[in-house]
Amino acid sequence: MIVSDLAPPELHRRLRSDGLRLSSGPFNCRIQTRISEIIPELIRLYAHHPVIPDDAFVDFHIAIETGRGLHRWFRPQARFLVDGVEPFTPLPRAQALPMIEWGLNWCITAYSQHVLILHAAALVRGERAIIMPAPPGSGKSTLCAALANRGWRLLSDELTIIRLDTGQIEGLARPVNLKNKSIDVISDFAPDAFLTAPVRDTTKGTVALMAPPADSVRQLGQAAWPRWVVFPRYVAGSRAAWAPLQTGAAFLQIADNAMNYHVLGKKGFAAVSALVDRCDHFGFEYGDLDEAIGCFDRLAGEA
Amino acid sequence: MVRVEPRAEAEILWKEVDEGWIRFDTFSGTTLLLSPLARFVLSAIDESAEALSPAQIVELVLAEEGDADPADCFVEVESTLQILSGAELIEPCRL
Repeated sequence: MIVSDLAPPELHRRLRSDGLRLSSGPFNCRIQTRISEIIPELIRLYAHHPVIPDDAFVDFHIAIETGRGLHRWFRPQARFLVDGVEPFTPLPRAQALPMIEWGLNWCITAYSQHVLILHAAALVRGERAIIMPAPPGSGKSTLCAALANRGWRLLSDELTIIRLDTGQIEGLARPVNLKNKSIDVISDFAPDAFLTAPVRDTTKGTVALMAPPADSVRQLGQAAWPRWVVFPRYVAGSRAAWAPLQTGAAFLQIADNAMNYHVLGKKGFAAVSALVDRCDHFGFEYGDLDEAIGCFDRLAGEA
Repeated sequence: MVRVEPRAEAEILWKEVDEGWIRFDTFSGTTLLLSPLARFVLSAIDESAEALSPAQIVELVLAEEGDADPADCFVEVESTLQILSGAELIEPCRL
């Protein structure tokens, strides 16, 4: 059963009571909220994710609650809770939906020390995956959203999960976090994609979430072998260009983008070493999405 | 020059890469990219029973790479010693 198999009244009931239990690849989540205005968009974002049985193990028990006391009405707030603990200060209630995604990212990063976690997007073409680590503002999520709407399977927009035993990437297929100008860019580029209404004045600027393509969610259980590591950079007006990277520079940049490399110690070093050996590494500058996708398609076709 | 002793708990891991070597200190979590010359110099200092002068290190390099230009080698070794010292892997000492 997937989320969209449940009727909206039942989804509302679950979210407002015992929680909606769903699988996002290697992690199971239970989501509860009484903030009713976010429920329709939340349901659409996770429409294709599997619903798990009530007795299945849940990794993260998440709740988005209203503010306490006067903050239920005066400058209304939303609070994020995981396992009953509130790790962040509240945010304006209008940010409740992106807060779920930010909070879930935090949960995965803070509690998952059995995998290597990169701050990176990951997508698959054929049997091979491309990993795109990049700092905010580099155009990573825009490129990721565009590729996911042009035949590449989305593994993750924000966190790339690498198994320590095999080196394979586990898919999350969660919503893509779009910011500022990239919201309109992707709306125009992929008019059929579902994007939430923009949420303004967050610490990241204006944000909107793009629902992961249904095919990507359906293939959640299929881990992928990394083949390329690409460090993208959007430069307005530039022609798309690859710049091969040497393995030492790639190692340092991957380690720099790993959320738990230092925590994992020897295992982290071994995991990054294996990833470096397995992949080809490139810098990639682009200024046009169609041209960029052509470059990625050719790269996948040549391999 | 003498080596800065890593913490007793530390294990130093190495990985060969295109540019030379990645050095990982498991205790501090420090990851460094070292040139082949830097690793050679570090090993030479590490394996020497006594502190080594820059001139002695140059001799060791020339013994390994006989066709290297001595003047160039001296410049390269001086530069490498500064980098290793800046990374706190070695430190100057009185000879």
